[in-house]
Amino acid sequence: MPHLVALQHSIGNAAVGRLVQRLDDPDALTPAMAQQLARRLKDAMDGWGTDEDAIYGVFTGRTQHQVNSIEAAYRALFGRELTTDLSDELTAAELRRLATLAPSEPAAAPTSPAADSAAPATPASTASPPAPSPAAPAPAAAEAGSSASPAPSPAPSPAPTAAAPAAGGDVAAAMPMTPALAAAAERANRAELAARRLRSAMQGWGTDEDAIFAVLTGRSAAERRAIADFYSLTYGRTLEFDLRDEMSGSELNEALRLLGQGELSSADELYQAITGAGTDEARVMRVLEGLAGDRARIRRTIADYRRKYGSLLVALNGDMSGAELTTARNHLGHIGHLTAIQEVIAGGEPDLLHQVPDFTIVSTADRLLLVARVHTETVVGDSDEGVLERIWGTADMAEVAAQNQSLYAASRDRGAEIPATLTTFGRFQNNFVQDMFEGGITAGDGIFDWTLVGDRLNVRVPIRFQPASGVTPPYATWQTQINNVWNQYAICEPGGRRIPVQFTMVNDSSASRTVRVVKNKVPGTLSPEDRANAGKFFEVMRPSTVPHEFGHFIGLPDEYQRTHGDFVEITGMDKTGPTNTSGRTEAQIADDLHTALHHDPAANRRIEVRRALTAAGLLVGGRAQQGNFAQDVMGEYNTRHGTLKDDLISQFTFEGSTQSDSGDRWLFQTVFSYASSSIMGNPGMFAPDPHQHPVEPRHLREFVSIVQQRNPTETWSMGAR
Amino acid sequence: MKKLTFRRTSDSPPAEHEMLEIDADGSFAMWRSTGRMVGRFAGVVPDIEALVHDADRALRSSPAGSDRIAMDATLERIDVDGHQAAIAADLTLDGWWGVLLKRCRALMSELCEQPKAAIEIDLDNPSAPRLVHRGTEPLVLELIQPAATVGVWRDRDQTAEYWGYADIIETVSAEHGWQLEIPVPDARPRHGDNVIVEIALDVYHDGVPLRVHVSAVAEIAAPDGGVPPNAV
Repeated sequence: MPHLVALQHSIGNAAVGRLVQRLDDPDALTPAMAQQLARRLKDAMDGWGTDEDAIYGVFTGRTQHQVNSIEAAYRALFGRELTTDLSDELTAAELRRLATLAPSEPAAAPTSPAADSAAPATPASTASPPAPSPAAPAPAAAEAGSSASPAPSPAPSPAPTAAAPAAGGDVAAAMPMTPALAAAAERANRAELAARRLRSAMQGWGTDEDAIFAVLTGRSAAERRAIADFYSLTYGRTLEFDLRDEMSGSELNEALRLLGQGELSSADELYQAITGAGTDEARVMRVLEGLAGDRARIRRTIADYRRKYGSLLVALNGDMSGAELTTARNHLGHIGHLTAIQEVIAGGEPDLLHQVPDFTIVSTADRLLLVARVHTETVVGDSDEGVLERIWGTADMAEVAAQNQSLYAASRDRGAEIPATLTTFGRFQNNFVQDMFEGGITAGDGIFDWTLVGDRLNVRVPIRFQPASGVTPPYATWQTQINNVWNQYAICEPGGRRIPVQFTMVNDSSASRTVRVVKNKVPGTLSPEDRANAGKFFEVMRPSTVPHEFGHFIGLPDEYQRTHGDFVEITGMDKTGPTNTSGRTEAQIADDLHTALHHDPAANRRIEVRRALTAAGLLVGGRAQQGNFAQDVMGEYNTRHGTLKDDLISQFTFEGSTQSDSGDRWLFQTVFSYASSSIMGNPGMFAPDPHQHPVEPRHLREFVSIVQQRNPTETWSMGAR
Repeated sequence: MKKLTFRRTSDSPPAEHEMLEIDADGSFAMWRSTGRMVGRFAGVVPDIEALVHDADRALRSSPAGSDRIAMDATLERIDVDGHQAAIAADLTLDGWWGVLLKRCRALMSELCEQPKAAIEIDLDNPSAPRLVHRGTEPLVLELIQPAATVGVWRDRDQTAEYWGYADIIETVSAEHGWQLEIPVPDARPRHGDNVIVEIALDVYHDGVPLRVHVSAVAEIAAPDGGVPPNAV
């Protein structure tokens, strides 16, 4: 059998087995047919009461092969024995009647069409309760003896053969039978029974649709032809005509599908279950359970449904809800979710996405399309929000979100509970205040947007510049100055990965921070009186001015005239300064200072203070010596005499003095305060220090933290680009 | 109004600590720490009646403003008989306090015409700017190799910066006629350039050194036109 072996290789053993069986027995049930018949039996026995006619319909005119297939399918689908369930559901009389319908073995000639009642066939059963099994009385005889005791008959069901007994009709008795002729005769015999039962189901008050479906289900093309032929010959009208006359809508559709193809495809069954008054959820579930896990069948069913009826998913959504809908959709699994996504992208309702648990099954580009589609909903409900949350919530969307921040923000605006920032982008905001020595307060706030995509950290600082009339702000020059100071660094890890930090100051009319830009006192030239600050720029400024103010814009405070605590907190470092070599203790110096600050007459206090500080070594050549020594003196002063700063202010009022007292305060305060030489400090106050840079690691702490959060397994720090 | 005090304070480098005190009779005393002329100023405020009028009106209204200012901004504070208004130097106030503020700002510049003990830069020659004493009283200067920075600007860009210093270390009492040339030999600005000269030094007041920044700006005229006097 070389050809068969090849076929086994190509389509598999099971498929070859079915094919051989079909070749051997053209009326053999397909697995789908057997399952549908098994389901019809289950439906007939489920719930209150039993639909005996549907049960009879299933068994009417079946071969033993067919009955065996139904029995096996029933067992496979429901894990129960069909004979047991039938015994439980049917009365003894009903069982006896069922026995008369038991399968025939090869053919008997058709009997007279006169009999108009339901036409039982060959009884074939074990002893009561009847189980489908072979026997071979002729249909007419069986009909006549429909109440007879069932004939015992063990299970095996031989295929029709030439040697099989031909019972009943005149034709069979009159001539020797070829196998083909015997099969045709046997089929005709069964067709008669089926046709009579169909006729019975359509007569009288009402139509027994379930019985009709049961009879028509699972018939081969030859069987259907035989049934239709018998019906038209016997009753003078076509079977289809009567079906159309008796039924309508989805029921007629189901009947015609069965008449035309002998079985319902999964799509047909789903359609039948969904359409009409109410939804047969149980049937939907049964069909879907049967499909579950078989991606090829699910794909075919969805496609078949679309071709015949439209979108299966839309139909399910329309007729089911809640956990039931979720279960139904879960049966369709991956293919169902993909289909839902494709349909929504093509313009379908976003509701279809509610049951999709994981959107990583499609590309990030498709996910963005879905987000945009959900945003078009007039009302974005909880389930839509859930969709947005699941789409944005996957790890691979972090960078996509960074590149589509407005779309991400729009999802938040529509109620999606997603973080305002991710590890790939965010907005930094802080604010800080600094007490001025004179009692004023300078206040600043840092605001910037950042994105960390790939190995690049981009920092965008939005500012609403407000140029005065006739002023053209030199944005490019300012950016160059920022580049020279700030865009020289990267966030690095020991393995060698470097993430450059790129700062950009952007003129953004929607920014909350405003900076006025005014003309210089001498247009085009910087005058020393052109004092810029974080809220006012001049057309022309020192190259260090914009970088310094930019430091404020990204949240950094000043590093000059700061208290020790502020300085340590801001810079993360201490400043040692000179040691005490004065020969007096810090406490003694504090006492000297206190005496000087309260010197009488008051006009000489500034001189006395200067002398005290000079004697202590805290003023050298008139210049302040900041550091631990000065702080220790201030600590002693505060402990022994109250707050030094308050005394400096109170003892150097403007009352009664002129001109220089505020300068005194500046000098004395400088002794007891701190400044750095960085871009945020007062570089001119110090001698050049090769170890000091305009930008120190502390200034980029926030950016190191951003990179660290995104890449937590490495240890990151500031380095050169 | 009995007494008005107007102060400008900034810790932003170069630190700015300036004060103008005006009595009801119009006499004033002023200390300037930055600008074209720095030091002590004294004399009489012109049109004191108008100032007193504005101050009295301000006293009858609620003080305005805020002492919360932008980073690096200069705080200005007006005190009239103990009533105060505060504002950043580059902002304006509404009402009579605003009027008074505007007048004080203008006075701080105008009253530089009445130096008592001050210095300024004479910029006849950008390669040799001179510190010059102005006023009638001496001003003690601590000169430790005083340096001048000459910035050259054209079309909004600084095209060059030169630096030079006078090689002296001494404390001098500058009086009428005193001057000190600080050579910046490399500074050769061209016609049409703007030059700005800055000098920082300590000025003693009652024995206390106070840092001041004096500056001058000039546009370089055509070769035959010479260099104009201080343009600011």
